[in-house]
Amino acid sequence: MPSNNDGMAEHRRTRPSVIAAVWPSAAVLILAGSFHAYRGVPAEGIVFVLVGLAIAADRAGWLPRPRPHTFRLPDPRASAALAVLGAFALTVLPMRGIAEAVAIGAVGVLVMVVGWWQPDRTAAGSTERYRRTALLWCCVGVVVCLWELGVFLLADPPLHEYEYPAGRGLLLVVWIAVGLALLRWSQGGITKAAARAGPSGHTDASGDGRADPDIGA
Amino acid sequence: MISRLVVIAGFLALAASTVGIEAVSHRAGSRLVPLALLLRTVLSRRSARVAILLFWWWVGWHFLVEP
Repeated sequence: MPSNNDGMAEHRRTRPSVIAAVWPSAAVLILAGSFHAYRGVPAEGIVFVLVGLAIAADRAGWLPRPRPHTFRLPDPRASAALAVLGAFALTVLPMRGIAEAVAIGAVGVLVMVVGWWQPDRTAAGSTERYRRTALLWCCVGVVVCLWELGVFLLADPPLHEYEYPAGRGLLLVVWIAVGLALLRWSQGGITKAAARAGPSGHTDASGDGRADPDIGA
Repeated sequence: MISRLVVIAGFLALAASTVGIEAVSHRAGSRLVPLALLLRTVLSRRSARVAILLFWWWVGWHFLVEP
């Protein structure tokens, strides 16, 4: 009897590659990249389009499969400390200088490498609750994008970073903490509060009947 | 032109919506799952993971570096 992986490989072989390449994630990134080019930041547009094309090529099976590697990530407490330290280090750099651009750019490259090489997981998510929540957050995301687009086309941005330098450090802490949380979640780690509110109402976030060893990671 | 007040009010309303949705998802018997659980599932696939991480990185770049 073929394994699940065999089935997926077969599915991949029989599916037209071009159709597989038209993947929502890739399409969204290419669309966003085009908009960045339109708003006068072609470098960001190129980054988005290139990553979108890489995802499309990966989905179509045109890229070699990366050797999966699970990176060791800091736990929530260490992440909080890292976020504060990282934010402090970035705030001492000259605002909008070369050093800051290099540092933030390096963070981006590092995160992309971790995200790309991390192995895919089989995760829960087929329940009606997940679908309903995903749809709701997608609607919120679309409204945010449309509002941002409207502001871009019809108004001045309400806030400029240089108008609130005092809050810059706090923004950096939140930004780094969210990035580390995304990486942890991508490995299956979630907070205890989220797990308690999960589908089964206790720490079995995956719904497979077993305690989740990653809870609190 | 949209007034600055309307723009800020719009962003605040969106922020309040996200907080509200997340609060509802944490209530017992909620028909929604918390965002962390949803993202845990979404981020399990490379394509979505890389796309979301790129958007996260771009937020930092846009607000902190981009002139």
